[in-house]
Amino acid sequence: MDFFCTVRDKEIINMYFIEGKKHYAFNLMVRNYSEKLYWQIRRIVIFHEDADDVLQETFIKVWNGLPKFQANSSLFTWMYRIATNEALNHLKKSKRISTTNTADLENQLKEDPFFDGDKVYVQFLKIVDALPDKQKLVFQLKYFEQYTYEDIADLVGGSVGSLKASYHHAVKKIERNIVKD
Amino acid sequence: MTQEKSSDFNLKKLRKKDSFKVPDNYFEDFNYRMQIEISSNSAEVSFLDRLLYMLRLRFTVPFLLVCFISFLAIQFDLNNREELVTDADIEYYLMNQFQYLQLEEIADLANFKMEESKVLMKDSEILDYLETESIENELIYQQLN
Repeated sequence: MDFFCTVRDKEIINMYFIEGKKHYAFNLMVRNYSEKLYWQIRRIVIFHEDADDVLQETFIKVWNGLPKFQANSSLFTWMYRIATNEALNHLKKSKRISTTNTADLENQLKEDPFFDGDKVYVQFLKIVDALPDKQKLVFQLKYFEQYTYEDIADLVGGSVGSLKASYHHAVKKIERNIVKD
Repeated sequence: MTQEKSSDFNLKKLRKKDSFKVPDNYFEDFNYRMQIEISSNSAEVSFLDRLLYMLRLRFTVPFLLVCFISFLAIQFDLNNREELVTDADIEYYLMNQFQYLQLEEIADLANFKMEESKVLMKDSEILDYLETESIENELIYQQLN
């Protein structure tokens, strides 16, 4: 897909396979994509320290996996999948798969120096966090990143129709569950 | 308590303000940290690669050859030992040795020199000898008196 697969990506990959330019090519990748990947990871794991760990792990996997990378998908799509898997695995390892029914998330967010949301935003995060994995990813990509459904289909798989339905369900759940004081 | 579910909650409003923050210069620092991480990572990998390469080419074949030869030598030795020394051999040896020591002790008591005679005697022969000698000694004693 043209949106993700840019000429720059191809140049970077070609450069990676030239002896002596590996590190430079990788550095370009980090510069180009670290911020995008960070926000995607952060919205899944919520806390900055976790997002930082996951982002590092993601780039280490990218570095180790690049020799086997085949340009069937775009570089960013491939990196996005690694980042998403790493973030979801991180949540499973830390056993914070769903935090909707715990007050922990709210308390932790209050103490987090890298979060300044209000009560409604905390509630919103808790509801998003409790969505099924795929619904959550679709919602985040559409709502925060404003990707098209075609781009989202490329990243997470599935048909455009099913993705639209997923997003619609997610929005309804959130709106239904937000409690106004 | 006047909580109610918000039917007119507007998600578009929330989108305007992302409440997540990052430390100052986080992304610049991150790039730098990744460079360091990858440099150390590749140094480790190349060292391991070199070590494996050396081990594979220079040491593996000779090492396997030495192991194979050692294994054959040990097997051969063990087989030969089994053939050369049996339990019966050991039993026979110990019995002979015991008999020899007994004879030697008796010979000493009787002032009999085995080296000179070079004859191995049975217990019954020695007893006969001692008896004869004691009779002779008795006769000499009688003659002297």
